Amino acid sequence: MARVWPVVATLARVVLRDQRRLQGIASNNIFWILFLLQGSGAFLFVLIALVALFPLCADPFRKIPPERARLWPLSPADLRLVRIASLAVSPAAWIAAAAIVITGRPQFLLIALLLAAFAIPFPRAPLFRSIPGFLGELVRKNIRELLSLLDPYIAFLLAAAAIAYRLARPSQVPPEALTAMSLMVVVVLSTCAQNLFALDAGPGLDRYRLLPIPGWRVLMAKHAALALIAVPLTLPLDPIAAAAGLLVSLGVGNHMAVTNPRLQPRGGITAGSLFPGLVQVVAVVTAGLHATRSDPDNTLWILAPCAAFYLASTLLYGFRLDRRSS
Amino acid sequence: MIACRSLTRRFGNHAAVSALDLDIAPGGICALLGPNGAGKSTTIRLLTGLLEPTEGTATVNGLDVARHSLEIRRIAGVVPEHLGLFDALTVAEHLRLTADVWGIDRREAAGRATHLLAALGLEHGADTFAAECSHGMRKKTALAMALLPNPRVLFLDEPFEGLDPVTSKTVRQLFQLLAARGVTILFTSHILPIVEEIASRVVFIRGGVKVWDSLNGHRPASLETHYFQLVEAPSPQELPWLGSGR
Repeated sequence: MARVWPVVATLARVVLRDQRRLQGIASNNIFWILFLLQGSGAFLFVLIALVALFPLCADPFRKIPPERARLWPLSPADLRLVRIASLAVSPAAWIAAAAIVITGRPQFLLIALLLAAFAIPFPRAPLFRSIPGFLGELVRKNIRELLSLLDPYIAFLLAAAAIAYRLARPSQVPPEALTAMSLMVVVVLSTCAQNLFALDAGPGLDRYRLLPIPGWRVLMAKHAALALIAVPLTLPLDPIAAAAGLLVSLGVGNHMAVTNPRLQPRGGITAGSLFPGLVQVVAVVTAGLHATRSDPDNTLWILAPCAAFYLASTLLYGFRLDRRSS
Repeated sequence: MIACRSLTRRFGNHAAVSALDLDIAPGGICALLGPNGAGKSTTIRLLTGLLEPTEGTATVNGLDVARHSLEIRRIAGVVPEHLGLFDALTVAEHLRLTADVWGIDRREAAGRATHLLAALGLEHGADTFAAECSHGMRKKTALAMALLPNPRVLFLDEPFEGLDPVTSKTVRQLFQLLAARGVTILFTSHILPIVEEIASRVVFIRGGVKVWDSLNGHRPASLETHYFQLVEAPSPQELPWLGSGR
C-alpha cells in the first residue's frame, strides 16, 4: 500500500490539473451567449456539461505513461489496487458522490464507475482520410486539431438538437428560430477563429514558418477546416445567415489569432479574449440577421461585403503573419 | 550481471532482434551501437521487461526478466525511449513520485533529489511542468528518475541525446564513477566519441543481429572508421535530382 498510495495521489493531482482545461469557458464566446440568454441559457449549460463530462471523466489510470507504469517496482496486485483506486479520483466518482448525497440513490455509483472505467481520454479523429487540393493535408491536420477541442462537439449537439426538433415538429419551428440556432452554432465555433494556432505549440508554429506558402494561405487552411465543420452543421438550419456570420467571425478572429497566438490544451474549451469576443459575437449576429432578413434574390449582394471583409482581413493578417515569421 | 541467450523478438515476419547472445559483467559499461532501426531500443525494452521476447531468455542479476520483472525493476534504473513522463507533473514532482514508489525515505529522497538536480543542471527548472520542458530537460528528468533509487543496473536509451556539453560531461563522469562502484550500465548511443570515452565494451547491432562485439574482436583504432565499415551508407550519387535545380 505504501507504494500504491503515491501513484494514486499523483493521479489525483494530474486529474485535478486536467480540470484546468475547462477554464477556457470564462473567455469563450459561449460566455456571451450565456450572458445574453440569462435564465433561458440553461439548456446550453446542460450541453456544455454533457460534452465536458466525458473527457473529464476519462479513466485516470490511462494518464500513467505506459512505459513508466511498467518500470515501477509494483507487483500485479499493486497495479490492480492502483487500477481500482484510480476510479475514485475520477470526477465521475465525485459527481456520483454528490448525486448520491442529493438524491439518496446509490445507483449513481455504478454509472459513475462505468463512466470512469470506459470513458476515453479524447477520440483521435480518423475522419477525412484525404482532402484534395494544394493545402489538403494542412486542412486535414487543422480539422483533426479542431476535433480535439470541445467547441465543435458543443456546436454539434446544438445543431443536432435544432435539426431533430425541426424534423419532429416541422410546423412549429419558425424560420427565426432556425436563424438563431444557426448563428448560435457559428458563435460557439467563433472562439476557435480567435485562437487558430492554439494547438500549434512551438514546433507547429516553426513548421508554418518553414512552409514555402504565404501567410494568407496558412490562415485560409485554418479557416477551411473551421468551415468544413460549421457548414454541415448549419446547412439544414439557416445556411445563408451562418455563411455571413462565419465570414465575419473569421475576419474578426484573424486579429487575435495572428497578434496574440495562445497555446491551448487538447480536450478543453477554446480560450479566447472577452472584448474581441464580444466584437465577434455582435458582428456574427448583425451580419447573420441582416443576411437572413434581406430579399432572397439579393442574398449574394449581402454575402459579398462579408466575403470582401473576410478576404481583406485574411490578406492583411496573412501579411502580418509573414512579417511575424521573419 | 546482464545475460541474453538467443534473445529474439519478432514483429510479424520482421525480426527486430534476432538470436542475441550477450554477457555483461558487473561494473561494465556496455554501449549498443547500430543504425536507426537496428534493434537497440528493442533490446533495451526486452531487457527491462517492456517487451516480451519471442524466443530466448534474458537475465539481470541472475533473475529471469520474464519471471522476475518486479525484482529487476527494484534494482534497475531505466531511461526508456519515450522517457515516460507525466506532462502534468513538474520535474521535482517526478522525483518525489519516484522516491515514494521505490520506498525511499522522504528526507533521504529530498537530499538525493537536490544532488541530482544540481548535478544535471536542473535546479532552476525543478518546478517546470514536463510538458513545458525542453527535450534536454525532459531527458535529464528521466535520467534523474533512473538514478534516484540508487540502482545496481542502468538501462539507458540514448542518454546523451539532447544534453548540453557540460551536463553530458557530468553524466559521463557519473557513469564512470558508478561503474567503478560496481553498477552495470547498458546504453545505446549514436555519439561515437562518447562511446569511445566511457564504454568498456561495445556491441554493434545491425538488422537485429549482433555483427561485432569488442570483447571478441580487436578494439579498432577509430570506432568511427569501424562503424562506417560495418554500415553501408547509401551513396549520394543515387540521388541525381538533388541540387539539379529542378
